[in-house]
Amino acid sequence: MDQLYNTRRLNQIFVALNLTALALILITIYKDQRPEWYPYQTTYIQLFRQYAQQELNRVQKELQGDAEYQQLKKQLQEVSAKLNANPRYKELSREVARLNEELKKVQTQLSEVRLDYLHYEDEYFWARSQSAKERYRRLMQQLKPTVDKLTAQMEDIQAQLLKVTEEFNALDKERQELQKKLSEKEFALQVAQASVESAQKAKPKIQQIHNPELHLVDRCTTCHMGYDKPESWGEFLKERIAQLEKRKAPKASIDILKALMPHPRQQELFAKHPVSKFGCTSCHGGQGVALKKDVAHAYNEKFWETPMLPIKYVEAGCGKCHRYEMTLAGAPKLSRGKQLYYMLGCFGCHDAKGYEDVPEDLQKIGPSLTHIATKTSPEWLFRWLKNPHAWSPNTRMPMFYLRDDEAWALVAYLRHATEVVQGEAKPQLIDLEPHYGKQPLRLTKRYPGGDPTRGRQLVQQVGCLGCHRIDGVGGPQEREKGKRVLSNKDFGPNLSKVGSKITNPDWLFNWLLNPKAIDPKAKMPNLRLSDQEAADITAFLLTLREQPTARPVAFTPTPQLDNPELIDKGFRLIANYGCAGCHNIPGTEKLTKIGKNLSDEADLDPHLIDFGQRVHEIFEKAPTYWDRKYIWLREKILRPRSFREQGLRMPNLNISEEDADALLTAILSFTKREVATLKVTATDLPQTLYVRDRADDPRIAAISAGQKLVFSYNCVGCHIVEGYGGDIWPLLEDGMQPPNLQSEGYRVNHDWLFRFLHDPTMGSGRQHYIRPWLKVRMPTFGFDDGEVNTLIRYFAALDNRPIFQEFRTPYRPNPATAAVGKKLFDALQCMACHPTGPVQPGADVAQLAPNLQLARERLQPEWIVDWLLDPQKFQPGTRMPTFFPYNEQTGKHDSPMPDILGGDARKQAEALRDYLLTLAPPTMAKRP
Amino acid sequence: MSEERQTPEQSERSEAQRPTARTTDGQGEGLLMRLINSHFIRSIYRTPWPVDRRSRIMTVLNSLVLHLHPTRIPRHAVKVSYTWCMGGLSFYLMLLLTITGILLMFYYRPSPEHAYWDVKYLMNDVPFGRILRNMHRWAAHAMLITVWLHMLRVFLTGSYKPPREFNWVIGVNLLVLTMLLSFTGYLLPWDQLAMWAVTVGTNMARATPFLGHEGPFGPQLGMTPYNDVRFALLGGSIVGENALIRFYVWHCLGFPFIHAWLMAIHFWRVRKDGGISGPL
Amino acid sequence: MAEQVPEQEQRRPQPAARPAAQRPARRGMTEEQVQATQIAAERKREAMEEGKVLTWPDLVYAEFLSAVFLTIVLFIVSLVFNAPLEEPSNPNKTPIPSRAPWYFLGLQEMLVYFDPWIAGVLLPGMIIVGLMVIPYVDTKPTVGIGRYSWKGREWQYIFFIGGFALWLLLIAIGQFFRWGPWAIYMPWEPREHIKVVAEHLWWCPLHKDPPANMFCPYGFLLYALYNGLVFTYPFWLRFLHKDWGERAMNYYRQLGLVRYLIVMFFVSWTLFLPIKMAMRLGLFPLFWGVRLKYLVVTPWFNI
Repeated sequence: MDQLYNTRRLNQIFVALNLTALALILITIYKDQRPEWYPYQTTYIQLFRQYAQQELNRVQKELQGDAEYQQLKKQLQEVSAKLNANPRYKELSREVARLNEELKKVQTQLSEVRLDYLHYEDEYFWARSQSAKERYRRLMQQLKPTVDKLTAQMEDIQAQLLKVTEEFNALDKERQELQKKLSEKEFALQVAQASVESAQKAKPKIQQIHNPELHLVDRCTTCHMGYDKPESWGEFLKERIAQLEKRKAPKASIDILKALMPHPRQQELFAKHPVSKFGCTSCHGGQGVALKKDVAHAYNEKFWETPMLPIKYVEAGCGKCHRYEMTLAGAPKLSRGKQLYYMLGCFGCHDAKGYEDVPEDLQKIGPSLTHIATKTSPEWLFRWLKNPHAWSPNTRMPMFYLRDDEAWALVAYLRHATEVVQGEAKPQLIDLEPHYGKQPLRLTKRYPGGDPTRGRQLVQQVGCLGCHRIDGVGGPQEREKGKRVLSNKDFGPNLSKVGSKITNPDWLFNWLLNPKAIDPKAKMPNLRLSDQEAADITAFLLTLREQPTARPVAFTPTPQLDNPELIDKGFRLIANYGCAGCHNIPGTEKLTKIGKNLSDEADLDPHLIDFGQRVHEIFEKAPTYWDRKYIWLREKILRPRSFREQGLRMPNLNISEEDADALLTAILSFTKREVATLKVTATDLPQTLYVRDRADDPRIAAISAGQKLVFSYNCVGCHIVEGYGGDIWPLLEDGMQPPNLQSEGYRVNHDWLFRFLHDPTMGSGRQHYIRPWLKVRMPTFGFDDGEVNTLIRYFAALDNRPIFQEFRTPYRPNPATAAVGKKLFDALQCMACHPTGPVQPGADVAQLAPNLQLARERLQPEWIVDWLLDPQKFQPGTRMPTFFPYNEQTGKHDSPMPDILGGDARKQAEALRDYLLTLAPPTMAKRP
Repeated sequence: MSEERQTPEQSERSEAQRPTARTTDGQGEGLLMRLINSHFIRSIYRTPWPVDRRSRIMTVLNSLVLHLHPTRIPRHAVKVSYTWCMGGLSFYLMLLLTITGILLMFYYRPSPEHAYWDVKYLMNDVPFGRILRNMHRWAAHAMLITVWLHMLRVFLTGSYKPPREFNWVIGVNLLVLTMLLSFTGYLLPWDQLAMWAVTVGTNMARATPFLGHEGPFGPQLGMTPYNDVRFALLGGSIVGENALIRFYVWHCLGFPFIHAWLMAIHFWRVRKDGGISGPL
Repeated sequence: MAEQVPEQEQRRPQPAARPAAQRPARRGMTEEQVQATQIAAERKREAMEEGKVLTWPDLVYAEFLSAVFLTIVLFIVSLVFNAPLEEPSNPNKTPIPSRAPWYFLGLQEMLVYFDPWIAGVLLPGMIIVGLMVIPYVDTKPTVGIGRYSWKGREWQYIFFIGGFALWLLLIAIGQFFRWGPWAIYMPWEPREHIKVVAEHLWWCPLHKDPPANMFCPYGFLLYALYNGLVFTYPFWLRFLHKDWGERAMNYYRQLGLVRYLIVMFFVSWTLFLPIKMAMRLGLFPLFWGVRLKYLVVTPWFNI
């Protein structure tokens, strides 16, 4: 029988293959034991041991240097020595020890015997036959005396022990107290020692944060081991990194150290977002389950839809849950971005989540164009439409890159659709929406002429500069040459060249007197100007003209603006470019927003983006796959039409690179991906967890809606709200500024606030109700009830007060306490700053304070007490003296008058409050 | 050690020298051979380590796994250039797939909520999970290729001609089953690739004549998306959780059983029809 | 060698040729063929005895080694290449393209040329049934068993390998040359660019749009003509080439009517596939650049 194959040859192949297989298996096992994260952990453990030791040494040295500690130690030593010398002490301690031991012995015996007894008892109950019952009863009987005896013994020992311990403790008390104080001091030392111990025992291990609610499994901390260590760890690492860099160590080892750095702003962030609950990927994105760096960061993972956010956009992760706030403490870029989205009126074209509660009236951020033709000339309109930034560099109107004929068409339409002054014939043309004709413009007063100098003064004083900039008048907040910085300072149009723009002085005069008569939806409030004041201001504004430049502005000659085709073309352009998203234009009420809904713009996938003609450029510029999306979004914000020659309609907003980054951060937070959804049963609708949704939380809803109003009406132009704004403050002298509205919700009675916001004069006829010395005026905004309620709820929510009306029994001041309060009132000389009558001319306005007679009507009783005790808490930097400073030692407020009411500061403050609430409200003298 | 062909006398002599079963440990030989011929090992294998003709034949006959083969085969049948080894490799890959598949089943839950994430965990965290899943997937693709090549080889060597016609038919059925196994397994990761591939595949089912709601004469026979053959496949009108569990059961139990049964017949028929085909 | 023969004969006496009635009838063969087979089998058995080797170690060792080798290759491939895992499935987001698994890409490619019920149900069904039918319509049951024999089995080889190659070609096109909305992409073209497909198709012969009452006589006639030609080819081939015609008639007679119809059914569909593909692609000058969506249009189905 022969064989086909040479066995020897086959054996050789067999050995070779098996050795290969064995080698492969061994290599695989080895690689599994030394995964990518291993060096991170070994480095960390090694360094952390050094660090822990260093910290221990530091704490020990500190304690050495701490005089108090040393003294305590010495005292303890002395006391211990004294005690040990005392024979009675020694005797007592020995006695205590002996008794404790005896007690333990007896207790052990007792518990054993007790167990037997219970066993017999149990069997006795369960026994069925009489004989068995009898037997167990007898056993119980036999055992009982022992039990009783032992119990008695135990109690006896316990009584003795009690007595002896009392005496012992009496001797030992001082030592124990000293010991306690010493341990408190040594706490840091203990922590450091524990740290050293744990560092010694540490072993490399996969670290995981698991939160089933969020479907979260994050293993990021396997490499980023130092994330929760204190700043000193960061310093320690920085030293090491510097050393390595000096030694020119390979980049990989330096990168490992950089990965171990502690997380910044831990106090701020981790207090409210504990890592054990939120993990890392909730905020940062990334593929938490992975254990390899590139897979986890997912910058290049096409199929992981939530890659890690680049650090410069990391605040977008906050916006996933904090969807409705426009000012988020700790996330300045996101806040700026969301404010920009609102200020620039992006939602005029693009709907987005988080802006649904913008009131409809206020959704259009541009001025109403209903009567534009009466206000200005067609030539000016043409210039403006062609290039708004040339006229007003900080305007929010974007650049549409219109051709000349397009611009004229728009002018023609605007002129046609606008109601013109009575008397002028209107040509009957295209059938537009029957809008005009319903609200004809009536300019009721004629401009009588005025004094420009007085007008200039008024403009500087009355408060125009809170919303409008005027070059040369507006003070140091004028824009830097060439730099375009958007802020609410540009809420109103820049008036530097307004004289060249407005061709109809009557229009301006009437507008200043009552803007809402011309445009019911105007955001400009009524400053309650007298006719003379308005005339003066008009005169001044008309002097502000354009500088005639060497090179005249060239534009095509004005065509026939009555041409129906031109007007029709204008209307179509308006429909195409979505002008109606920002401006009220007659005839365009039915037009809808032209832009894409951005509520899930952050979920955009790069392979679905149309890069147009810039595809190669962007692909080359983008270092990773997802960078294509960020770069495209940023380019879209900065240069919207650069992707195709034709067909794109988004205009150029002309914003700076920093603002573009902020806006991009906000847009990257517009995601439909919920952080977590919970379904209790399979058929439940998913509830969204963790998202601060205004539907769930009335406080969020109130703050969100209020912020929109505050930004819509530019309250921040004059007032400081939530720490923002106060744009007019630097332009006014100290003491002449409008109040900071911090803690307004706690401070004032809400029904008073309701009346105030409707009419700041409170029917008194005077311009100023609370602070008579001010020159700036709180204007009459003409809010409706809904808007006032929104504002009240906003302030209430900010101060955690009840948002909805809560009926309360009015506070009745106690007459006896009020009398004491009067004494305090006189002693503390409140009247020195809080006047009750009109302000004396020449008085130092910096020292003036609101009239206290308003307190009963205006202020909340609880607030008055808290304010008196600590004014700086409510208005940091206020000039109100702190009469009752807080004493850290006693934990109470000190009083300057220890003999009144037993020196109790709180009672004194309450007495003052009671007195204040008895003061009669001021008489309303009519203003001449 | 290459053996010369023995004369009958020589083989008789070696027969006499051959140790009988279970009476002795190997004497006078190396350690390895003594181990192999020890009492314990011999009780498992019954036959001593094959060293001569008889023991080689007996080893094949006495072994559950090996008695699939005839004890002697024609020379040409052993040549790789003839059979390409495709049949054997297909079977081996099937075994490999079964083993890796069972190991994968420890970590995989066939519900839409868990399926994807379980595969994600396999790829990232389960020790050697990545290798396990990869082996299963590449072995599956390799098996499809080997069965196609096996079919090609059988055709080219005319090994479907009488008396082997029915074996060919069984082979075609095995081919279809292999492709169905691969298809049902394709859905299990529950990612975009899987779901949409199966959507494309099962969408063709709705065009079945008479039985599909978009096929010729289908609507006339009362077929709607909720009662046609596609519905039967998916357990629903979309590729959803019902489809997943159905495909999982087909993939792990249904098709493997049928496959095993047909393979048994296939191997049986190979032997019965005269072994590996050879020239007449 | 020679001295072995008598021994074998001693060990196994040659059976006498049994009478015809007792011989096991062999399917699909004539009497002569059966006899020839048996004699050949005898000789083969003799020769085989010479050429037999033991399973152990030759076959088993070789099998084992090839299995180990395959395992090692598979292991290395598994270490290096990861099985794909894309985004979690999302019924609202259709990937572009959405592809069937590679072994079904042939069918997906055929979807371009045929309606789903043909490309997805009829053609695969016919492929499977066609494969199963092969042994039963074989007219040369004794030729080429056990060896690679091109000579003597030319048409069998041509059809099978041709079909196999077509199947592989369709898969290759589906895998490497299709992307986006199933448009043609060369392998070097960037896949990020999703092409816009614009095709101008005629609905059926001489009709740009679907004809009224959904019946196209020309297409029907053409299809009938084609099938007629295919099914009756033995009868008209002799007018082209006498020899071929004769061989065709022989073939027809060998098969018998039923088997002939079955074979021609499959042949007609197999050849129809590339023809329809060419019609769809409008290969000039065959179809004058006109791309045809359907050939046969009826109110109930289209081909």
